[in-house]
Amino acid sequence: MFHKSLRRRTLTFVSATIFMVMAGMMIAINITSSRDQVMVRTTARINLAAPAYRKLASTSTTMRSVPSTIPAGGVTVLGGNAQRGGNPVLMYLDPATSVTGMISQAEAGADALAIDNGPGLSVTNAVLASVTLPSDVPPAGVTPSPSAVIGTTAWVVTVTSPAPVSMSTCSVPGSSSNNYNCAVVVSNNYMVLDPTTGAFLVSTFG
Amino acid sequence: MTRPKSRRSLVVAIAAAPLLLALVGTAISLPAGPASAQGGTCTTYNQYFDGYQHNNTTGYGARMNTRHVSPVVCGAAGTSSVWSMITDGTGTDFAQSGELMNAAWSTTTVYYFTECGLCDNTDGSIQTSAPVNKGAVGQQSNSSYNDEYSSWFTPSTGVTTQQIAPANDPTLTSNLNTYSVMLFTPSEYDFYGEVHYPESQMPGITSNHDVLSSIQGLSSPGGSWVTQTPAMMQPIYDTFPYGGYTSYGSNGSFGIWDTRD
Repeated sequence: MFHKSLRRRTLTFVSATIFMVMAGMMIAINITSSRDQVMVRTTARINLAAPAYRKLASTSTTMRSVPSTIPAGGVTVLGGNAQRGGNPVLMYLDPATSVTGMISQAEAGADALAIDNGPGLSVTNAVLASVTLPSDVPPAGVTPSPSAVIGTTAWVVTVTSPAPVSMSTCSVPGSSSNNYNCAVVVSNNYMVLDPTTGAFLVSTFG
Repeated sequence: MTRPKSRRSLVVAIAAAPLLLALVGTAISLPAGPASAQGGTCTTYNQYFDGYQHNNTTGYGARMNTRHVSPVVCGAAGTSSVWSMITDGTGTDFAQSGELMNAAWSTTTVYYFTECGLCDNTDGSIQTSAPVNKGAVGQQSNSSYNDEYSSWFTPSTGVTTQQIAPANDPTLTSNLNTYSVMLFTPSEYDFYGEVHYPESQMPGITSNHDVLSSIQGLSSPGGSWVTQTPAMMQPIYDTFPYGGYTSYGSNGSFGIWDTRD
């Protein structure tokens, strides 16, 4: 009886161990599979951002340029150059109310052109918004820098080039490799300016 | 704003040596200088580099200091930049931070920038592979301030932090950080100046080099930054006809400049 009981317990232990190992392998496979899905990328992705700073594209309207008014619920501004089956997210914009000492829309445009002063550039839009730059959002557990543009009220000024501008990141123009096409051609620089001083905060191209 | 393909470039360079010699000879015979470069026509696109890279198998971080010295860009398309970077060596997968002048947007503003190829944002959305300008400072011909540019990969999260510690803009009082979920594993670190047309100029002039100093690499996650001297790395400077370069010995720094100025 004792030996049978020990054998049964041993078998139970071995079975449980095998089960746990297999479960662990399945979890590992799932993780690997999940990472693979991230690599090929079209739909849901791993979200490493702290919940307090999350601003998902699926929760707002998506547009290929900054609108002249920010709709209730916000807007996700996408870059025009598709990569890996989707378009990059340039920024999230939510409606914002004016702040004390705010510079005018025209002044914001003039400040933008004082920085982006290349030939032929023009301001084609300027809108006050609450701006979140997704690349400024740290992973959970990391405190954002004081300079991070996360829910920051700012003027978003669209500076438009008279001709498309290549911002390609490839070693060879127009080439592609790995999982994405690295040719990037843009027409707009979206400049995010402090609402009271007009100081440059950040800009992204689309 | 990308990287040279070192080993492939070497093979190509050897194979194309006669053609390169002919091109260099042609270039040397052409009158060139800062005055003709600024506002001139950008004719032949290529990407030219002056700098050093460290090809190891565990390049988790790159850090350097530098300052703005007289970049001149051509036409409406020229660019001049200086950056540090970690990469897997493919030429398209990288994370970098540095300073950039881009004539399409300005010939007088130097932008702080970060850029990442094959990266996501931390919320899982696709990150743009175009530069993100993190700040703007005026053109300074003899700045004595050093900005620090670094990128480091954290394997436990898969996130790279690209950080600019600005010194040339007194209105910026905190670091400028970009976070990128990398879809590749970095294996080398690079430190370069880059132009896209030969009419544009590398930062730095003959009498005032653009000095890349306090160069450090991170070879293990959570490890210590290790000073990198040019002797410990591989130079890439032979593709730019007007590029000057020199090592300052064992103190982890080197200088680049444009020989026309």
